[in-house]
Amino acid sequence: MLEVRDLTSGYGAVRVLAGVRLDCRVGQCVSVVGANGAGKSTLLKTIAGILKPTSGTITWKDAKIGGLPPQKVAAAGLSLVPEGRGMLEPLTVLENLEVGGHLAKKRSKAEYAGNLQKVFDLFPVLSDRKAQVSRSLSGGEQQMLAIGRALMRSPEMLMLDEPSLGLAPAVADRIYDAIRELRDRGMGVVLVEPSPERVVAIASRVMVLAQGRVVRDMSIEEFQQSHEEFFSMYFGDLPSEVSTVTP
Amino acid sequence: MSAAIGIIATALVLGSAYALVGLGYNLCFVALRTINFAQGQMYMVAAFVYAELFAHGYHIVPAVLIACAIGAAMGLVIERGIISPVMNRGFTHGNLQASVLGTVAASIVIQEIANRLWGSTILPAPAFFGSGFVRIGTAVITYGQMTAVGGAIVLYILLWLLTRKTTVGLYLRATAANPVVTSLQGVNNRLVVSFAFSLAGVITAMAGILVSPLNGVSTSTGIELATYGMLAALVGGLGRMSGVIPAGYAMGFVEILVSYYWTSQYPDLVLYVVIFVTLVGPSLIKGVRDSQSVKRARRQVPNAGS
Amino acid sequence: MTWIERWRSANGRAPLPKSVGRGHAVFLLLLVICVLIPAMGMSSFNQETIAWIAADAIMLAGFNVIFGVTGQMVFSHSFFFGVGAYMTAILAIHGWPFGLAALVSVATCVISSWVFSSGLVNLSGFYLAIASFVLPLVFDDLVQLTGSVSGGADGLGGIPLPFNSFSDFLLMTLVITVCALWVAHNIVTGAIGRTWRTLGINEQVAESVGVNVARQKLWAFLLSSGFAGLAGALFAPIFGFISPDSFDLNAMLSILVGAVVGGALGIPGAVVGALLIVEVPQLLSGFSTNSALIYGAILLVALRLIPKGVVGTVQDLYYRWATLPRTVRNESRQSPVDASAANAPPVSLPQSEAGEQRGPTGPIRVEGVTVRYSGVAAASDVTFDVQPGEFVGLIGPNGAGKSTLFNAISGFVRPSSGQVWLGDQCLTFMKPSDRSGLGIARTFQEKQDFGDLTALESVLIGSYLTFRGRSVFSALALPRYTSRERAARQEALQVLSLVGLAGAADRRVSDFPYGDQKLLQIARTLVTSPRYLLLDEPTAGLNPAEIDKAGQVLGGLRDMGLGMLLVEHNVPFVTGICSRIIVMDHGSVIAAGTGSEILASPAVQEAYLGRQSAELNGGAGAEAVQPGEPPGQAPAPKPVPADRGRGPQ
Repeated sequence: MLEVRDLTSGYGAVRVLAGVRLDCRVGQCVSVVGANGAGKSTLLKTIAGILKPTSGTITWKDAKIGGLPPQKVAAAGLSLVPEGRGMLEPLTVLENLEVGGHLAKKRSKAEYAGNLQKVFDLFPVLSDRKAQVSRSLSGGEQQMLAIGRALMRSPEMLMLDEPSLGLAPAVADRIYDAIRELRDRGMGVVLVEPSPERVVAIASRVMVLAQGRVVRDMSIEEFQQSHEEFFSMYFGDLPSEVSTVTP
Repeated sequence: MSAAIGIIATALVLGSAYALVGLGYNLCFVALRTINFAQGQMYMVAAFVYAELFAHGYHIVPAVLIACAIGAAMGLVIERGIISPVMNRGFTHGNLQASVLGTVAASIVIQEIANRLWGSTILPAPAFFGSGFVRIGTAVITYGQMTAVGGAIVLYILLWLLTRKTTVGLYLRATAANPVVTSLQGVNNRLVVSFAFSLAGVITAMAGILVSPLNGVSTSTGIELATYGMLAALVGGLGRMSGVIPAGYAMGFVEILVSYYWTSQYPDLVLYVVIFVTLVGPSLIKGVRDSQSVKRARRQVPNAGS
Repeated sequence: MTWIERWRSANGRAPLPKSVGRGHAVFLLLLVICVLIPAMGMSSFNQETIAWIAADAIMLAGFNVIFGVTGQMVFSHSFFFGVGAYMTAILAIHGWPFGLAALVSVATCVISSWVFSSGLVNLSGFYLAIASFVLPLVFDDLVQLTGSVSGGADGLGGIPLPFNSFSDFLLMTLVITVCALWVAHNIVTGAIGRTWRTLGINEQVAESVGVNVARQKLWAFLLSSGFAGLAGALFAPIFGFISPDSFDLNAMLSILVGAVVGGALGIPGAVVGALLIVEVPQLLSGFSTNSALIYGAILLVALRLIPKGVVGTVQDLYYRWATLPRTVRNESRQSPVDASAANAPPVSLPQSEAGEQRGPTGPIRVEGVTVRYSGVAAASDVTFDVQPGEFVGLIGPNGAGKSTLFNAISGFVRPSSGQVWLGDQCLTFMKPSDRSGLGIARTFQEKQDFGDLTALESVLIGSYLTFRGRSVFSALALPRYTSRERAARQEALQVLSLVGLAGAADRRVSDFPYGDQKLLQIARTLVTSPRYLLLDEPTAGLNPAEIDKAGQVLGGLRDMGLGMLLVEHNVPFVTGICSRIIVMDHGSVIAAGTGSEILASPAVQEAYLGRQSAELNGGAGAEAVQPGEPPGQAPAPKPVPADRGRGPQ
């Protein structure tokens, strides 16, 4: 169970998040949407430990993880698949997976080997390209590798930052099939995704972020009803009163 | 002929020293994108420790181990105390300057302390296989020379195996490629960086252990090797392990050839000129090529003006 | 009437800038003191020490210029110090008059550094440091090579004193020192120093306001080497004897220590540093044997505790004390002045005093521009234009190629094919600094580290080109320069008023909130009297109030005849300001038109919201995709209703 309350953070003098609230349970898929610059990536990076929060709390499985470095957050079972995929470029596919499985290896060789097999089962193309340098993979393959890499350490919750960015629709479909499968198997998913149709196809709750605040927290049915509002959020006037969601 | 063999042997030994020290610099650069200017002094201190231990009756093996441990410790202390605190604040111009100056200061402090401890004594260092030699015609190659070059080659292979085939080497390469993503995978970057610096210290210590038996250890060797090793790393291309080794040997050969055939009085001068040209040449050529290609492209556009 | 006069008549006088060059009085005082010193009848030891400090002050001043101000890691300084000393000594011994010998030495230093610079100019960072470091390393050998003339390792003695008594020599040295430091101070605190500091902070920003980076680095290097040579010339006769030991690695080290501990950013730091490196050895007994150790330790400590040096830290403390509270408060900010106020005569942007219009007029035209990065086309075959006085927005999802195109127009990226034109002038092969001269100005999205500059100084950077040839006169604070500087400051203050920050002009940039820092960037571009403003995501990272203010400022520029290209993610902001919008996706232009036109375009909606969203938006929601279903199974798309063009009114 991930609980974020009143989170503020940013880059040095630039404050991006101005009080965010978010909940996600294992087995649930929550999607964070909003126009560019609203703070979606910053939110994920702050939870993952890359950025330090300036105030607020992040609670994961009843433990406070706000301010912990990324390796500790990953060790707690919360994995981020970063925006742009974050390839370790000179390393091969297998080496990328091996780095991802660092924590699993520490726990047990069996867990590591088991996870590796599971990743190959989920994305067979990675098995074919085991020894290929990751820089030379296609965009879709890189995304699969990024997700597979995060899976290597048996996370309980996955955070994905725009996984379909720059991918052809058919390829993105394949990625989302995999994500859906993971969710059905019990993984919690926090998803930043700009395309509402994909959001509708996979999430059960939607958080709308604008200017660093959550302006709407709705179920997927409510989100579907509010297409017009969403459109206007991108292209029209932003809600003049930006208020935090009442608990 | 015998002269040639002698020259080649000496050049190989020198080149091995430069290449090993250069590898040390490279490791540090790969880990943190900065240069540890104190590497040469670490070489010298480790070599002295080795020689001293032997003089006090230690067997070779523990002497080697202790000297390497000292090298590792020095690398670690410099990284933790001087470089990381500055570089972790961000990779800016000013921070780079500060880390450079900090390691320069450290190198001076270490050099001076060494000067006080050992003054101008030249300690003999034990050779691994005694003082025998091999005759080829009228030329002589000592066991010490062969150990130095052979040992260096063994170290290259070990280092290559370490970075390519072990988990730790993998994490090092991953951290160099993208430290943030690597930390997201649960790897503790700081440990990896500290490991890299300690390893660089061990390599530098081994360089001292291998090479010092030939001429003994003195406090002045530190400064020369610091410079030459760094030049090897730069000329070979910072960050490219494979470039350092040939660059080191090339430097060794140039130095020996110059001092043998021209003058042994100013080997430094010629070497530095060569280095200068090597550093400066590629960028000059690139600059010329760039402006040529711009001129050519411009001619193809009507109305492009001047 | 000039722009300033018209604006003033409409809006009243802007606050007068402080007089240019406040430091002159200090130097005058220093000169008087220095003239009196030799007459005070000190021991010869003290006189020699003072002469030594003076020479070192000149040397450090030169080093600060290249190392601290311009931020280049160039470690060749002690080499030129040695060349200056040896050349002067040798010539003087052979009977040349001291003045001529010194002149020739300084010239030698400048010429030889010019020769070396051609090799060094393209290097950066470590390569530059090491390549330049080679010079001090070979100095020893050089002296030995020329042993017959230079005395070799044993040193060179019998250097004649230019005057009969040391007091006279001391007087001459002090006068020269004060004058040299005065010149250096003028340069560092004037327009040239401003340019060099910008180089040290961010070379791209410098390029964007017209600075020829390589040439400026060269000038800085020549100046610093010349000063080193002068210092050497004055040093040689002090003890009548020089040896290579005074110019070896230890010398370079003491220069570093003096610069870091004294303060590397300016001339006062050089004086403090010189005091340090001359006095500390004399005060600490047993120093000579421990010099390096002590210097090393001092350097380590200083880097940790006072990284800006003594002078820099004092300046910081004084600034903090003088400017409590810490951030720029609301009271000192004014609302942006609307330059197109109804009863004001129409204004145009600052022009140079001669009032000439530069270069070609006409629209910016992008024709078939393709930019490839290792085979992948970041932008492909893009064609559009920006008319004079038109505000054009460039939007698109992440990765659409907007920034690439932006960089192609401003000159930081060369297209693989296609051309960029300004009127009938082809820009494609021009450097960014040349485009600035034609009226193309841009802002940068990344945060700039201009922390220690004041708001006024950061804006004044933009006035670089207006000094055209006059900045060299700053060295002697001549009216040809000071008049332009005064005018430039006035213009900068006017522009600061435009963005509502004139009241805080003397605050350091780091004290401003992020939104205001971005406005300062815009102010900087306005000072370049641009024809076209290229703004790179001006609202990124701003809160709603700051976005409003930015919109107000930009809107106020509309009637100035300024053309603008705005790259933005904030679509409502763009549709509110721009009369025409261009939408990119995956490197190509997918729509162009007015705000309402592009919002109605299905291609645009698809790009931002994904396929079928246009239909989803048009439907009442009944045919919406069921949650949990893969998109491939969504019902057949309905045609988009014709009036579905909702956008801002």
